[in-house]
Amino acid sequence: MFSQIFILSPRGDTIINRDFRSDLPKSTPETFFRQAKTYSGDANPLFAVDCIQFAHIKRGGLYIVGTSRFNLQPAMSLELLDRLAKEIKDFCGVINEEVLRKNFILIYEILDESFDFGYPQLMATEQIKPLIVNDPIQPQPDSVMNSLRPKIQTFNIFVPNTIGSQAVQRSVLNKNQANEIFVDIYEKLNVLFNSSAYVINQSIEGCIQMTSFLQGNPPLKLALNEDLQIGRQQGQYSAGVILDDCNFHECVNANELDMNKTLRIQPPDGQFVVMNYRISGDYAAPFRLFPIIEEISSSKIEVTIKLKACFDAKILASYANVRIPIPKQTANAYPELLKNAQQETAEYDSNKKIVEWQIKKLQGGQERSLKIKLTLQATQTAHTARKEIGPIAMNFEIPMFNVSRLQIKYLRIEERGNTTNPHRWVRYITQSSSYVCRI
Amino acid sequence: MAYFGNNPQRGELQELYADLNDLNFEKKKEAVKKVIAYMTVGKDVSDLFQSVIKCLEFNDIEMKKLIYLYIVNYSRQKPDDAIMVIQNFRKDVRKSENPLVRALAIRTFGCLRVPKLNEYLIEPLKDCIQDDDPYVRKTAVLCVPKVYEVSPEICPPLLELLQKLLEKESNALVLANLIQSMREIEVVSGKQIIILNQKIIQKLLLAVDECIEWGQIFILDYLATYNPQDSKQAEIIIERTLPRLSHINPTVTFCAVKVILKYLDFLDNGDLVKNLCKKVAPSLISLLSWNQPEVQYTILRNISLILQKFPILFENDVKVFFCSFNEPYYIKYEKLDIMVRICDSKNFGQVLNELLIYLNEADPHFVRKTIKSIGKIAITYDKALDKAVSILVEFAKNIQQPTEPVQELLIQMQLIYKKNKQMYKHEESLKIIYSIIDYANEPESKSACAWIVGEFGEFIPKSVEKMKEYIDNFQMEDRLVQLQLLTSAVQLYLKYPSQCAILIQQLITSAKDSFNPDVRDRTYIYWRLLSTDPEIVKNLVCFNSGTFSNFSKDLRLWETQDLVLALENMGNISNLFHKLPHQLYKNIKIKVNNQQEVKIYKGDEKLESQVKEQQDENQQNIQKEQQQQQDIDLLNFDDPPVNNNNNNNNNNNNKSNKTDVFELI
Repeated sequence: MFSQIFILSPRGDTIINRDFRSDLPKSTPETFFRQAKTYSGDANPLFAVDCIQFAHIKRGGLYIVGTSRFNLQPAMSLELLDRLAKEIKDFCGVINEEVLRKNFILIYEILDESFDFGYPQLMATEQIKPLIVNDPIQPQPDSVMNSLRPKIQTFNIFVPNTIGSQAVQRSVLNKNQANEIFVDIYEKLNVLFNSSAYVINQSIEGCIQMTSFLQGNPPLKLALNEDLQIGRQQGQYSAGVILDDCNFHECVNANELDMNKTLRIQPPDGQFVVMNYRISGDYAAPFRLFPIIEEISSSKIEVTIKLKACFDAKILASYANVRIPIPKQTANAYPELLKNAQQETAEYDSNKKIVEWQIKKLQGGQERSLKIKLTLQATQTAHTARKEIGPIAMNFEIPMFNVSRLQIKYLRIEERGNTTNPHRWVRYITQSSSYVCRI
Repeated sequence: MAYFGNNPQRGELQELYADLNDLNFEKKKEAVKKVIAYMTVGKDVSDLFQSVIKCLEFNDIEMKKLIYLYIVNYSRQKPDDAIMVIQNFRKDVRKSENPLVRALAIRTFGCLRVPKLNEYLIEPLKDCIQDDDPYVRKTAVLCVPKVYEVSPEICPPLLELLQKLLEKESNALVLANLIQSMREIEVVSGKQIIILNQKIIQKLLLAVDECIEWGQIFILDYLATYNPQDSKQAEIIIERTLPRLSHINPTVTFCAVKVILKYLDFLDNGDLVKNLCKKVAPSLISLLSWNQPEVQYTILRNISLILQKFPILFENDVKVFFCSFNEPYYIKYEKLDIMVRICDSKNFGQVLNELLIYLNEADPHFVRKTIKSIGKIAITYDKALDKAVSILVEFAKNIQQPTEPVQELLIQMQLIYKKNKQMYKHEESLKIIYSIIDYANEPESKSACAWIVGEFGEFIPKSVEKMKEYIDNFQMEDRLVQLQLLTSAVQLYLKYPSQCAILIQQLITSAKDSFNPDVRDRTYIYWRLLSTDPEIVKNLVCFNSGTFSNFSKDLRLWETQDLVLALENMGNISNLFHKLPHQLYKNIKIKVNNQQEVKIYKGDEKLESQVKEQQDENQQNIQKEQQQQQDIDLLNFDDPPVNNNNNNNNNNNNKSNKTDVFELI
């Protein structure tokens, strides 16, 4: 487990230094900083010097570092530091050098509650709030602690069995906030086409994210599609929405998902991911690319790319960018748009040897095309150079559209009480993660 | 910012001293804060020890926290002064109504790390372990390993207490800490301390459901080291662990995978094992798609390990490991590696088609790795050989420059020819490879070329001229190339004695005075043999593929008997390096493993061939081990490590005979 946790300023000064195990030399912060500076860009998140592992993340220009001599799980060490940063941010509002220096005693307190002997203990803001006695100095207006802080006498967390998972949902009193909740369904698409626009590989990585400003954190009930199914059997085809796999936040009770397609949620404050899901099955790709390469002569190539938006005409993609790598030996390239092109640009970057085609707005069902005329240097023939074209990569975002057809049927607040009905906002967003067409 | 002034000059210390002894409480508090600030930036304020601890008389929790921080930092410098604090601690632990204060005191007490203070600690610690409040208990439990580290001799009564607590504790968080601290003592001492029974396991499994995520990790991680008594118990544990597979924290998911994979060994229901594999695989794949690349990397590194034991896991999912265009290269390299491992007689076509596309990538290093992977597949899977060679030959046709991938191509072609000499006919591969032979510029690829010239002398036009060209530059070459040149030249000489007579003379003259003993010795051996009985040389030098059929048949990362231990450490740093923990860390003692059979989970088809291969290998080794060993030593001093590894593996298998290929279906 962690031997020490320290926070260094961008210049390498120690701001916080907590030694849990005293099994490492006192000079480790210097060792870390010297090593971190040897990297040309950002340092590797995890490295070792003399059998000491250093895991670090960078927040607000500061290095948050954990050291250890043990056989740790690297993924966990980074996750822990990230959580620590989130806690500090919740308490102090922002993370920067000045705030941390002013609040160093508070941060020692947070560290002591979060880690004991280097082992992670309570790491959720709501859980450690009652254990902290210092007030943040000069709190920022958006600090969670600003108004939520209960007094030390009021806590009753030390009743057996409440330190566990239920404690995540401690009630929070805040009268200034608007009573509303935002639900976003994000989907990121991975698609790989071959040159004849046939899909080789495709998947969706999706998540349902909530940002809750509900007063009193009432339990919620979220209903999804009725034809939802989790887990895919080999060779099975079904008309419904099939998720290959999904996972849930601690505050979600998914017991009724199979039966009623509903999730019960005890929302904590602020932003959290309700559920991640993954779909590997076939779906209609929202864009199709048709590249055509012609060798005009031994030194000239013409590339024509057709882009088709295969979704409903009512939906509008907010942008679509296409990047086409062209041969290294290109002497010059002239991208040509169609004459009636609107809100489109195409540029050739001669350093990177890339043609960038940007489309500002694209309505469903529309088709666009781009023609690139390449002139090659004398050293290479068109026949060998054409192999260097591609792969074509695409970036886009389509709001109010999702490929998987996963939908939120309703979001109910189970105990309404005397508060007014809160605002509920639901958004769907589809983005490209890796949308590539090979040539 | 004012706290962070210059060095605490004499004057400043005195000022602090005055403030600390001031009667005004607020002033004292400010002064303590200043002291802590100095301490944080590494300035020595230990001289103020006495004055600081005097401030403990106030019953103010904020003040207490500050002072404890100070004491922890300086107790080892001033052990004598620290004794004075003991009374305060004991009072806090015993008298305070506030659990927060009790826990704070015991936590700090544990951190003092002064051996002679520890004896005062035992009694209060015992009280705290039996405290009514779970918060105090969870803190006290973690104090035990702290004490154990400094003075293990006084700990036995505490350990007994822990075991008792393990039996009756009901709070999930305390249980998690308890397991973790007892485990740490186990690691430090190398003794078994946790004694489990049915009831405790039941309780731990319940606690997993109630615990915060880090506690879940502690408990699951521990359960992965436990050996269940029977199939039924294993089944129960797996069942309770399954819901954790859908936890949002990747480490929890991964620990759950670890537990399930571990317990599969103990199930005697084959269908259940298959079903469970189907449940685990999607979770592992999901870990790859939801997390940032660093986490993905750790998962990928572990998947290559899991695959050695569970080839069945990703049978139909090879697509998942296809590289995306925009991934970092370290991810791509791992994926390549895994693709080779997953490749089998059913999906090799799919894999090779994918690899073919990577050959067009811009990064030469990545292309090189791709070629290496194609070569590995060709060598490992007989059925894939033709297609793989076709791809490599096609790639060779377009080569115009001595790039990095070309070097790898030559090396892989040499290995393929070694495995199956007849491949030279396939699509005129030899002719095309020979046409790019001049692009070799690394020792390994040059030595591969020299091998090809010697081996295929009779099929290559002007092979003698080529050899002369090499021998003219003999002195400049790397040792590796020199050794191969010696063997190849002798080989060629045996094929064309008249044409090569002068050549071999020239070679011996330039090599016999080499500074390198290996080169010199080999020269003399050949020289003597050639001058006495050329027939013996022929037997030695002319490579016969028949004797070499046990060619890197598998891609084992680990010795099979280490696999269990490696799987227990799944996700840890040691596995990231593909090492065992005690190889990486000196402070970890090797746990005596009551060696059990290692089961390997395979599909049907692979199983048969594997059994046959292994039998073949065993037989061969028994018959020919001695002779072969000689041949290899003499001829292939510097063969790629694959061969050596393979030999080692075989030997090990023979000796231990513990490897068991488990029939699953």
